[in-house]
Amino acid sequence: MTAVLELRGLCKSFGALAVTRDVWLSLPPNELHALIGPNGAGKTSLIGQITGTLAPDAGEVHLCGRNITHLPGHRRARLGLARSFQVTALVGGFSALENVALSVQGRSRHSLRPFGRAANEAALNDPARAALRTVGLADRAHVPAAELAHGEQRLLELACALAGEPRCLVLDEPLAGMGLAEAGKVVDLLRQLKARFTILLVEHDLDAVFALADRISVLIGGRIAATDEPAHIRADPVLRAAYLGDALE
Amino acid sequence: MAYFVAQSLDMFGGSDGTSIDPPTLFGTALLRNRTALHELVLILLVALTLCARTLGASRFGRVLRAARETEQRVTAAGLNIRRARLIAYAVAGAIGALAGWLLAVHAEFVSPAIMEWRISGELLVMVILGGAATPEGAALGAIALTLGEAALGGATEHWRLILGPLIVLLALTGRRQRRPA
Repeated sequence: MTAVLELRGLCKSFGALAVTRDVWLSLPPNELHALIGPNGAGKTSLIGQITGTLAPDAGEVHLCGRNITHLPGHRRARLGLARSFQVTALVGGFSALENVALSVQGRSRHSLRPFGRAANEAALNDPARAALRTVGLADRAHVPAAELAHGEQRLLELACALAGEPRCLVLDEPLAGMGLAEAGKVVDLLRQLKARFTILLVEHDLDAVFALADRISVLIGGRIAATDEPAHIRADPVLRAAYLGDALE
Repeated sequence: MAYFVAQSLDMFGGSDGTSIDPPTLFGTALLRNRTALHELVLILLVALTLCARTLGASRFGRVLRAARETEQRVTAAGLNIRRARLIAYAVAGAIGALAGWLLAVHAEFVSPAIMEWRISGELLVMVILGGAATPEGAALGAIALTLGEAALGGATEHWRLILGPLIVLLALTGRRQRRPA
């Protein structure tokens, strides 16, 4: 079976600082793969290379068997690679619905059509409404994104990523800055999404990671120290010493 | 820059400018008289304003509006910002060219003086006065500034002395218009 997302020997350095060292990773369909690691381990750089904001020095990125290493970000997105941002990146003046509709538009044909009222297009609004329902924001559809509460903005960020039926979701700390109750809701939501999407989840909340992930990769110093099932990662004495420490005690 | 380049081009009369004959199409005059020209300007103004509104509300316009706030999101959505902006620039250039042609036909004369920065500045003031958020804003701003100039110009020789500070005052106190979503 072809991997949905595959990294083949990615390397990236900034001068003498190697932020990504020979990273290999393969996500089979419908896997929720968590990427954890201490601050400065190179998680953000790795996401940049997957989504196209950062060019690797060596290695390849493949999406469903297609080499996308040299494609610009918007082309990758059109091929089905969706992402959410760690720091919310929404169009503040647009309503929640219009933010999601923008993502649907990006993955539809004629994404720059110069006529017809985009705001009234059912072809954009219906899938957008469905995504809003999935994250539980259906009744906030017409509120401007800038006026939503922080937790709601995080959910809207997720809705934008999963709208338009992507093949792979790259989620960059979807729980960042959320309260316990809100985080619990998102964990439930991600558990639901697991059935529909292949997900690469970067997250600091280890409770959430161990509850959700099919497999976990630990990134330390730009290198993947281990890739394994949660139970094995949790038990690995070397990893406990290097990173997990007493976070699990 | 363009002003000095144009001034040095002898082909078009250098700094003296060049007179323009009324436009013809296959030997017949395109516009019978001045009134016809004014009608044409009005028709084009209304048509292009409607065009600009349609563009703004379309998928294309939505991409431009969203990219002004967050390029990251727009790119992640699978939209090509460079392409959208390039098209917008080309369309704006085409409309500008049309306006330039109308100006030349209207004046029956062009000279490098219309490339001066003061003219460019005046156009900007018109747009800012009326509101840069909508196509009608530019038209309203142009009407307001032209009427203002005419009214003050009739009253005193030193009308610039009054109009200048008035515009600055407007810019400082003016309501920031919400961009239509």
